[in-house]
Amino acid sequence: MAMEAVSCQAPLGEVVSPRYGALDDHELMEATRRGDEAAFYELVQRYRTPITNYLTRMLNDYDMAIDLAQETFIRVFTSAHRYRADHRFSTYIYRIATNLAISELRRRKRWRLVSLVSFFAPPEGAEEGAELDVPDHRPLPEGALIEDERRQMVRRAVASLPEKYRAALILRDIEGLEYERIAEVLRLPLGTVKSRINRARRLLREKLRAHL
Amino acid sequence: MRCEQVKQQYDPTCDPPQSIAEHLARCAPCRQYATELQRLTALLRSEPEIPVPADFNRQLQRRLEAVRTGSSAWWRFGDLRYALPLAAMLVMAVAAVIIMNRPEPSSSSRPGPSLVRAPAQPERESLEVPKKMEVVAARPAMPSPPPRESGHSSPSLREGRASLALGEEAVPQEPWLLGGSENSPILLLIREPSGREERLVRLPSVVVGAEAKPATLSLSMSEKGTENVF
Repeated sequence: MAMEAVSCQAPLGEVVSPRYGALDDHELMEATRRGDEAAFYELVQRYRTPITNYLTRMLNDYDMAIDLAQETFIRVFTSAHRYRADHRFSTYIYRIATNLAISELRRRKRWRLVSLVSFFAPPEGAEEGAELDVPDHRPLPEGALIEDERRQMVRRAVASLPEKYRAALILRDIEGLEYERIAEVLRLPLGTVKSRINRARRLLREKLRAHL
Repeated sequence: MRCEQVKQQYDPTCDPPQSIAEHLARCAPCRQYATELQRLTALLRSEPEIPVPADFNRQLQRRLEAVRTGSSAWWRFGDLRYALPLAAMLVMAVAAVIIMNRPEPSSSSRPGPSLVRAPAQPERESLEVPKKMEVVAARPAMPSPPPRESGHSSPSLREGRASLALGEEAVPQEPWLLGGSENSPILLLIREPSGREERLVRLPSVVVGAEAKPATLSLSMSEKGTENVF
């Protein structure tokens, strides 16, 4: 992991001391519990990208994903005194992020029920939230345009999955977590996790058949 | 092994068990299915990393500071899902308390007769049938008040009601009228429609309730005449 240069002018959030790089997640959480903010920001540095990626694919809304990723880290910090090292830290933080994402998806569903905007909602099968639009200002040749279009289609297809399938599929096929860890994150039996992932793949295969 | 079982158990991210591998070797549709799932998984795994904003840590630090200083305590207690209903309930509770404790409007602010003095009576008595009214005194009508600017040129019940409402005019300051009021808490001056006679009527105590409804009283007087008021 690339460490950022230490600068006296930079705020603490931008600075991670190199000595924390050797500590594992549990040790960093222990230091965070003791009030060591640098240890906390080392954890942020390690997990901000995977958590943001996971939330972005869950919500298909980059800005909201950033907001919830930060909220995830705030919860890690404020509940550090309750943290127990009986699971991996990554399981713990993915669980927080999953709960936040599911809460957000349910909140959107509730609002959509009462909102007049629902008259103009995308047709069935369209994704929730705003179109994922990560800014990329590089010029796109024709091949890259086609590839970009295909990726957009994949993201839309993933975002259109029912949330109970979506979380399991993203954690497995995009984030690359083991089945056992996904079961811990989602607090589900292993068989249920495998079944959901299998079901999600079959749904996605139907949606993306033209690109396979 | 049947095709459906293979589709349920096949995992493109793991090496297939012997039974599934054998089935795939001899079943073209299932082999096609497995190939598509492998491509799908490869497509998902090749998703590019989504970058975080350059000021991610800075924003996070600001939010953490806000949490520490308590400025975001409102949000930490929950979001608007809880805050709005709670605020609505508080507003309704305060409104209910204000309405329930609102004092009765004073008689001086009301357009009804001001001569009523309601003695403290047991509440039970007010439910009884009103006693018969007693005419305390009668006399020829007083001179009519000067016509109003609104165009009422002749004496009428409406004028009479207006004079009752004024209080001073309703109780003429004459001993022959005030003498009878010692036994009666309520005296009502009634002027005949013709304007030729006025009568002072003592109302039983229970009729005090009418004092709270001046509109009803005036309607009766103006539409049905003084004989039907009571």
